[in-house]
Amino acid sequence: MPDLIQRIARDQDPQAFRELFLKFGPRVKAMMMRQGADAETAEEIAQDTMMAVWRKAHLFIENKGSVSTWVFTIARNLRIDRLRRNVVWQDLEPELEKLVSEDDLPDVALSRNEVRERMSAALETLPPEQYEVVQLSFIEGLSHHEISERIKAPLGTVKSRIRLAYAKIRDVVGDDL
Amino acid sequence: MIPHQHISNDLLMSYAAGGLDSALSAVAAAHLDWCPKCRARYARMEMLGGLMLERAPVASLSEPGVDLASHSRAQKARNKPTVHVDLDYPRTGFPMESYLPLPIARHTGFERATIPWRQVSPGVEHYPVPLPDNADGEVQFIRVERGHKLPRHVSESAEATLVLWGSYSTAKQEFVSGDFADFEQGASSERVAGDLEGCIYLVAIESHPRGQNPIKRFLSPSLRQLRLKFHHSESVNLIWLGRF
Repeated sequence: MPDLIQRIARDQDPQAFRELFLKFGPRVKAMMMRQGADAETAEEIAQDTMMAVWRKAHLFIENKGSVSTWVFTIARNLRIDRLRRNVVWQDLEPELEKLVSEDDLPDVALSRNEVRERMSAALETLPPEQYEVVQLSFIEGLSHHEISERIKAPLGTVKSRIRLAYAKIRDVVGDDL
Repeated sequence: MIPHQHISNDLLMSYAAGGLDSALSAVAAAHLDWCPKCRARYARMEMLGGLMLERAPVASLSEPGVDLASHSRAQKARNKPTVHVDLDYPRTGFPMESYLPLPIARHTGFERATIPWRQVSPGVEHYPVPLPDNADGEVQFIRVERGHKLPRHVSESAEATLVLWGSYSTAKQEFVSGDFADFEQGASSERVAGDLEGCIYLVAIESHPRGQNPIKRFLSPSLRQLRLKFHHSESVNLIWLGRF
């Protein structure tokens, strides 16, 4: 996938964009609908997210991040902005994003791609109740209070499941963050 | 040098997922600006968000009917500019003597020395940070003279603080510049500003113990305006009453 982005950035290759669009666009739209957006708004946010990918691909190259992470953060920020109930505090300047992603990650032997692969594998091994709270957080966009109501479990249980899930994912990556 | 007290994993994940209310998000963003350790964890959690997106269900989405070429880099200038105040901020790392965390500085347009303090009681001043009309919770700068007690806000509402200058102590811990603290049930124990410099901090106060205030949602914009007008007289008094 990173080379799709590269083809977009370097050659403005519409075919590469189409592939990324088909992979992520429908998922962003579904995510937005789960977060309470009506179909039309979800469609707009998904389209805007993908157009941002098209326009900002050259920034991504410098960043060397993971494509899905990047798409996720764009969609998240657009959603926060659209709701107008929140300031997009995360809306960092590109140079700042670079500062964050390149300087701060610990100097471990794993490449970013290996980290991603390991985290992905660890996700699959989470107990269902831990996977559920991660899914409700990221895809349904629920606060801890809302998760607590949804799954009819005390707030403390929700938080401890989130902490346990993160601890497992952190462990496979081999850092103590 | 990095801060000592960090954002908990569950709170940080909520922030990465976009599920934190505006007030808590502000204080989290401010701490992240100063804390490489939390930024690194945050980057991990955003990666987790990307992995969850890959696993998300799909909805039917029509392919863009726009001419892609017209949306290329040449068109970038037409993008909606992000709201920010163009302060000349050095990025030399934490601690940043006279500066505020960048997201807060950009949002408010202040440096530490230019915050327009208003006195609320002897030894305690504050400035409420403006948030969108319908944002949940509130954010304030607070300055407490040395040896004075920190104000207590609405009991049982979650509260998070970021020390911007000086320090404060609870019976158990000291929080110094850059430190994040999260009081889920409100700060019940006594907190005192440090003896040397007093304390300037940023506080987020959750709007409602349940994190959702359904009544507020139904307030019409005009009612909200009215409420905002009285904010600095009545509701502030309510909040600040009976703290000492």
